Amino acid sequence: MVDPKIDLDARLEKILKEVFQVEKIDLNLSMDEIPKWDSFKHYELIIAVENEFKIKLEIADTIEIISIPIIKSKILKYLNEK
Amino acid sequence: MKNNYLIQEHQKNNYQIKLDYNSVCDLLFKKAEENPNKIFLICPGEKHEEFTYSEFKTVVNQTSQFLIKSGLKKNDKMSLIFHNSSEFLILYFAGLCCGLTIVPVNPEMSSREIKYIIEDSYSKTVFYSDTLESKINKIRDSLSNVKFKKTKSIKDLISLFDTRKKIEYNQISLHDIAVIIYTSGTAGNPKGVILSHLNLLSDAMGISEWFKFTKDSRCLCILPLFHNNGQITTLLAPLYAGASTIIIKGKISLYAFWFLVNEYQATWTSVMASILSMLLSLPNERKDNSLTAILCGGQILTRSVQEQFEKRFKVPIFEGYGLTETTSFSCINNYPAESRMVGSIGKPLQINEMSILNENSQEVEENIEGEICIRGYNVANGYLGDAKTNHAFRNGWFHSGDYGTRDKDGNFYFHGRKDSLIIKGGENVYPAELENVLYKHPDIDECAVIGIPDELLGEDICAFVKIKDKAQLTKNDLEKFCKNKIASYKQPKKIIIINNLVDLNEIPKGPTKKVLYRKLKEYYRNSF
Repeated sequence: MVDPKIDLDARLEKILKEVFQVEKIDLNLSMDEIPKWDSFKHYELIIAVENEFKIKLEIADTIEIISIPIIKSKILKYLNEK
Repeated sequence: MKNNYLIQEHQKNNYQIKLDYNSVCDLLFKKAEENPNKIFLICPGEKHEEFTYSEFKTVVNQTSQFLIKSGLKKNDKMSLIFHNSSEFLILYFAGLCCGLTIVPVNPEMSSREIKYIIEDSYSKTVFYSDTLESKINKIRDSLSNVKFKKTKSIKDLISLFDTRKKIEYNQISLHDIAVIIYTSGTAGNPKGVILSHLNLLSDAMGISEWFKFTKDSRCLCILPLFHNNGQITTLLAPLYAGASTIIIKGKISLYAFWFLVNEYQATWTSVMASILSMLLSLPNERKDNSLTAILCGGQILTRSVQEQFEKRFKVPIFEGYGLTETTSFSCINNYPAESRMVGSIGKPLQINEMSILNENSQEVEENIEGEICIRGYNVANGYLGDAKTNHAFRNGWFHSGDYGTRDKDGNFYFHGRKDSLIIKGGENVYPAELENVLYKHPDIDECAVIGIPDELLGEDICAFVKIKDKAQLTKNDLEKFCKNKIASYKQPKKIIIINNLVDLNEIPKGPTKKVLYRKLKEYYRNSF
């Protein structure tokens, strides 16, 4: 079985590009630095992350997601708990 | 009201109000004396913060020392560029306590727009979130007289200042300018609306009393604090009652809305209609028993959305009406829910009067359409700029540019904005009339209606429609759906399904989720 943590950056980048409909994205950006990151995109992003990594984020965790590095750390936290 | 002679013609009205406070600072400090250990603010998120009234007063005192030491003096303008955060709140209150005028700026604006506001308002100092560094770097050199202060955390700024030092604050009167809020208008440059401490306090009092806020009220603030709605309805109105506010960064609010209501036992909130539509489209259900009312304004709330929302979530929505020029709300539907007149924007708060005037500034009769005009303590001093800019403030009234009617019982009804009104062959058609019909279709996610040029009729009607994922709908289906539900001259000539467009993914909206009709018109002009 493939380790779900493999290629995390690449898989996350793909999700982000699809959700925000951009061709390139810096994985160090915060939500305030991505103009398209609004409340609805936030919702889309969470659903896309949950589907891609087969995890279910607690809503309490989703309110802490204010940057791409934090999404990454949350994904790792959930994958490690699996 | 003391110093009545300082009130402008459009602020005079037949109500007498009793304000127990001379300024927003006076309000905060008196509430802190009355209830030092009561929670004032909760800021959930990555760095969860909570402040009692006493703790907040202490941090405001420290920040005021910092502002004074920075050389800022009474009546200086201070721009704040932040999303909802404790940094914004602390600087906002500290600035007001020092007698500064706060200029909140939408951080989503472009560098050019931010520069315009800083220059137009003559801001001396700009505090901005550290995440906006790249935007600020583009304008910093061209604004050499302005001090820019990047702010990651207030603690970094104020750690050196004494928590117990008693500050001799400047004398602040009700008529001093408290904030300049730039309207989110989309025509040309935004206009700075000048609001005094009287404006802020009277509107906060009006809303607080309308909804009978008490110390036990808990308001959820999801609207941006750089706009009047968030600032007044979910911050100053609860403060007026000594209540608590939960401040949420707007971008995380939608997915977590019901979680936040339940987690913090929110009793009340204020939203835009589009937020209600979005919540309806999500699978998340309500778990709390605490939320008793939702105030909704800023855009038309369709009957269909209101009915669906109230049926599913069992919480009454109170439609209201107001503008930045009236500080926030001027009228709200009757509270409690049983006394509402559904479909109406309600009756005037007892701080202002409202009237429907014709083009000669004369009051029209019941149920006759005219311009919604307001006068009262919450009506702004005016706009920054010359007399021409201030034409809306004339003949003792603020002329809103919105059209509506009043019924025999004094309930007001909003029909639409003058600039989004479609005049098709001499017939007035408001976008909301067709939008209300379209929203009844279960497969429509969102829609907006604009006027498009027509050689024969002057204007005709175009509906932009976003269809829900996986739904199958054609233009023909929608034409059939509208056919007998609205007069034939109000039928759309053109229906554009935006799911089929490559360069438009959703209906353009402003930061408070208000539909930007002008942007949609621009898009149509450039693309069709």
